[in-house]
Amino acid sequence: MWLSRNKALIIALIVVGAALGLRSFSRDSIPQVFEGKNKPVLGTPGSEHSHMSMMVVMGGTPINFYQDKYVEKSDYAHFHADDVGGYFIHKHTKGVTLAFFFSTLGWKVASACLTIDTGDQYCSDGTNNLSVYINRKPYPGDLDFYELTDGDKILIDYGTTTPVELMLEANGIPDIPDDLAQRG
Amino acid sequence: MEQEQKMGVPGAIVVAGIIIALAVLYTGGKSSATKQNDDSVAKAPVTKQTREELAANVKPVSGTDHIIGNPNAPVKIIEFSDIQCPYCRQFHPTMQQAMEEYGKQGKVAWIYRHFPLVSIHPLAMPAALASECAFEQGGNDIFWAYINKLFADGLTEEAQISAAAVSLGLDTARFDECLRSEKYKTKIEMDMQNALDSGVSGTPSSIVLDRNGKVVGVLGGANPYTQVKALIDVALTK
Repeated sequence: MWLSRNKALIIALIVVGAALGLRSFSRDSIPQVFEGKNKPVLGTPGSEHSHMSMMVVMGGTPINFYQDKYVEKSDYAHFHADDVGGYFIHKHTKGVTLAFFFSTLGWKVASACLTIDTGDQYCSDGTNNLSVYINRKPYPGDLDFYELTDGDKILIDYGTTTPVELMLEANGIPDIPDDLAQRG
Repeated sequence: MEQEQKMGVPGAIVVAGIIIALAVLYTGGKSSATKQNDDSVAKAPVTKQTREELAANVKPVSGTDHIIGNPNAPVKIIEFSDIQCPYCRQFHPTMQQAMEEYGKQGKVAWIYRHFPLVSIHPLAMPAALASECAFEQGGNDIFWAYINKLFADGLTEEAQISAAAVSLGLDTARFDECLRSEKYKTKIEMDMQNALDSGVSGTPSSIVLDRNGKVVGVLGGANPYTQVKALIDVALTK
């Protein structure tokens, strides 16, 4: 009887532990897309707590990140469930790059192309352009190496958007609220 | 039975261990996520500003502005607007109401600056140019009368641009020539650039300044009169 009860308890604990371990590892490991020199140099979750504001506009329509599939997807950096606008990234780990953050959403960004979680791909093609503005300035660099920094305002736009419209969008990215840090 | 139980516990531990080991192997584990490499990451070297900080970039009010009300009023509202924009049209009477209540007492001045959204409003730039051509002939009074007319009517057709000039008794030949020349395009584009530098994200956008020229707040969009009035009242206390 003693063995039977304890056996059940041990097995249950092991199963729960394994499940939690699997979830944690699968959620926080670096996706295979990052290999070699584009692999981010990540600290441990909790090594930083900073905030960024981001807007992604596809063909004139902003994507709302306030959706289950985008909220709290990684311990490294995430959108919060209380951010109904879906604007504010909470970065909890040193070294999180923009490309890495996108990967936690199931997105991939590479050479003027953005692939989102649905599999839809948006590439600059001469008519439509993929534009990246960081803090109201065009960012021509490689997003694999752009580390999110506190207070960043990030705009990703795809479409036939004019430079004036891009600046209007960049100006429209909300300020980071003063009390955001208290929300975890 | 007891023998089965004795064998079962170690067996379960072994199986669990295998599952965990496979999980670690499959994912590479958290340790690999923290592994260092030699590449440094890029960081944005640019200044980060809040919208209110950006609003402070707005060009000071000067004699070249289109001002209605007391130019030395303690509160100045600089509106960036687009004559073809429906929200600007909606907001125009709200500002007129503010001038009725505060402008007549000399407390508020309303400054109109151009921000024609040319990609979505094809008549906005011609209308902005036309308003400057009206100003050329009749000064500020005619400028305001011209934009008041187009906002009141609602600009939907190109013919309205000239018709409004006719209705105000302007010299149409001179007006048409001015319009064709686009001689005020640079002035309008300078307004637009200053709007962008000031954090404007759409039209109408109104920056409220206190008596010291400091930004008290920014009204984005066609705010209701209660909000405009509340911000004016705050600005008057500064």
